[in-house]
Amino acid sequence: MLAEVGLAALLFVFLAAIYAVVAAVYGGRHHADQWVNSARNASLLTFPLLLLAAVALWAALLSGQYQISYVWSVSSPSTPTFYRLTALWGSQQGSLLFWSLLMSLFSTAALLLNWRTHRRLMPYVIAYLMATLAFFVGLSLFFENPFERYWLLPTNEVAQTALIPAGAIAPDLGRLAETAQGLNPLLRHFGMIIHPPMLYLGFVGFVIPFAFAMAALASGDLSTNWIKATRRWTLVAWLFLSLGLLLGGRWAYDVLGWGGYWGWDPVENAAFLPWLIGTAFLHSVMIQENRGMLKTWNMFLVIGTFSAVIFGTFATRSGLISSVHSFARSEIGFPMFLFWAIVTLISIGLILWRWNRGELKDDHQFANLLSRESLFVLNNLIFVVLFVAIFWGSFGAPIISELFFDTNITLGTDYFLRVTPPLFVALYILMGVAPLSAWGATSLRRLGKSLLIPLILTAIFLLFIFVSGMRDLGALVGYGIVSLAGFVALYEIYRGAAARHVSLNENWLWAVITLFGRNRRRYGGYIVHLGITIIGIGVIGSTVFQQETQQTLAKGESLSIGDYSMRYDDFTPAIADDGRMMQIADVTVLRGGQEIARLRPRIDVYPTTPMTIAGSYSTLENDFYVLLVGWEEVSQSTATFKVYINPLINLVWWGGLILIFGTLIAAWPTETLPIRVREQARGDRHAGASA
Amino acid sequence: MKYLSALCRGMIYHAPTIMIFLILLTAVFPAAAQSVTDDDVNAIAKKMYCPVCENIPLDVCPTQACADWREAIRQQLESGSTERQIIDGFVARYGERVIGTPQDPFLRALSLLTPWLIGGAPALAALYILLRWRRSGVANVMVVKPGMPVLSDDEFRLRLEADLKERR
Repeated sequence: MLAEVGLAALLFVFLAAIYAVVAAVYGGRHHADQWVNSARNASLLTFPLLLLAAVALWAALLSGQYQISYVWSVSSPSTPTFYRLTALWGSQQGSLLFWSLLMSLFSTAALLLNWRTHRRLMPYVIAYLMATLAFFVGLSLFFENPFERYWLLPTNEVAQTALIPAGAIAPDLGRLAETAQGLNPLLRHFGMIIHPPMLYLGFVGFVIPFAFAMAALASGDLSTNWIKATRRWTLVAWLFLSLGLLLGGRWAYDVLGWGGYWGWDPVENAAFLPWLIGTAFLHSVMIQENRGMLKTWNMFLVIGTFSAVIFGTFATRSGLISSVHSFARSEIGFPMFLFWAIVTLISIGLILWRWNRGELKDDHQFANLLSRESLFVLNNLIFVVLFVAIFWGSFGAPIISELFFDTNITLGTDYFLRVTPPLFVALYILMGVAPLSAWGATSLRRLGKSLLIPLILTAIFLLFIFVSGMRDLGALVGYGIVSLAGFVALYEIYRGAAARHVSLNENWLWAVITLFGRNRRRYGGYIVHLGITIIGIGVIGSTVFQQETQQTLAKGESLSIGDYSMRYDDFTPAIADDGRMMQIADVTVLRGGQEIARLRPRIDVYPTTPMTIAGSYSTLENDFYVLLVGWEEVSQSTATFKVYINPLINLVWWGGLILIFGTLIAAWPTETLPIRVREQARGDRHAGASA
Repeated sequence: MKYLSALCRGMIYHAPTIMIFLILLTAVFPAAAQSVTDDDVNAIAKKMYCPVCENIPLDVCPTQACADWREAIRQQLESGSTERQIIDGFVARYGERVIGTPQDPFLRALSLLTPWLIGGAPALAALYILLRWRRSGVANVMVVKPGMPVLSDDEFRLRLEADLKERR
């Protein structure tokens, strides 16, 4: 019954989305409001229907309906309830349904919030949103159906179909439950509860600005309306994507057992690519708002972001590139590639058409190489080159080498660490300089004067870390560049607060609060810069100064690394509640002869794969991170450990939290009515209440 | 001459001791050369990739195939092979995919230079457009001279500047 409900709901969503596309385009072309309204209603229907489909699948997962092949493949009778809930996005079919659900949620919200204010764009917004949704729901219906069931055919063969084959009967549920596979061990981690939803929210969030941009091109309303409508949506999508990337890094650090958080894996990179282009768009869109420039470029960036989302999804789900995420391989590669190619070509075609008609001409031209808009363009270019470098390393080189050179190359960490650092350095320099330049024009002298105090603060910081014992020239230069960006952000906040403190006589705390309240976007942006600075310091520390050793110890023996030592105490095999075998080593960590922590690194043995779970002792200074690599099978008298010291790694997570906080400030809705009107309205309310 | 004969006599007298010392020396040095640690193996394995699970560095991959490869590296180190020889050997047997950047000069150049060429083209185009715009008439209107107020549509920033000036 649950499978039938889910199937019917998916089918209705598909039909509603197709109808919405046709009705919206017809209504838009013929200025027929009733058709546009009908398209909107059909669009609004998709979310409750998809929610119904998702609830049906959740119910099937919770009640152990193993006849549904998806339930059989991602859960088993021993799977805890919590993981049955998260199993919705534990494999291809479920994650596609979840993707569609989130997309319909975003689409519904975008339609409801912008219906009155951007009526002219709406028919085409609906058309683009629903075409994308119809495609993904179509994938679920025709290629990766989460409601397919197992059937026993009269010929004694087993079939896996959504509809009941003639003469087929349901297999024995008890037998299916016995053989059910359970959730992929890699996904049994707290980070996996929220990492995929955050990433999907980020991905689908970028569909909204894309749909508005395309609607602007299709309707001919090429003013800044589409930017105003999508500014907050872009920030929200960027926020979720950032959060998804951070959680993914944390998951890799905890679960993948290689001592790091970013392995330049193609799937990690596939999620990072839209983030890069999206970040470039967030900056360049300010130029269009403030100066009416870069209209064509912004269109390309928003298409690039959407295109990167679809391409990344295609590349990682089609098996085009193998990686640790290859659990999501399937047959949907060709349709996804086709959709990506068609959407990209149509979008570029629309841009070229409008450009050719002279409708994308800029209001101003660049007049000064040090102006804020010029520096933002430079920032955009670096983001694009970074995008190209990472795309090439992850997808371009492996595919081209196989297609044209009859060999198969893998560009690994050393490629990315050769190519990307100069680009990141350039981005940090611009992050430090650009906020101090003015729109229109800035003289070099003025820019230098503005930079003076942040430069002095940077010099003091560098002197401090030099005196503390840091002698690595590369790291010192890196810290200098990164910290300059942070000091500029702090200095700008200080200047704003100081001005309020002096001129309006506000106390410092209130001055800062009101400063942020009056211009959330700018000062939220400075907090984001501060977060990225802290991430940068963490990345330099954990990359340049990481120490590692691997040694085999007998019980009671110790190894030394840095100013730590670690003693192997004991070994305990155990069986967890969900039936997995655990091989646990007990170790004691000492520093300066003093015991500071007892850790239990372990290996979880699942039927399909072993999982290495690290033990770690974290401080702001560094992480002592230990992995159990092997042990003497019979007596467990010796065990092999791999130990890392990861300096400043926690700054990566703390910087991430600051980045999220800053984005929330920047994206927080602002009251748009003038103060006078608001105060009058408040006065009227008080008067009404007292009466 | 006297010293030479004394030295010869001394050598003959101490011959057994010298022989034992030399035997011990030859026994100890090869043993020292053969003591390969896990860290030595991992230093090379870190630069290579798992043959089974692509994109996982060899030093951290838990599969049996990777354990076998690490053991092969250990044996080659013990037999005196250098890091270069070991990596070249793996590349010759399994292809360029076992390392993070290709060894073949053409593929290496293709890998490392292509992103700069692709990225550099739009960068140069943008620079050209910027310079062309700057040379156009609009630029003349917006030249900033020392002492002139800076053209900016950011009123909030200007207000802050004024407030700061008052404070000074």
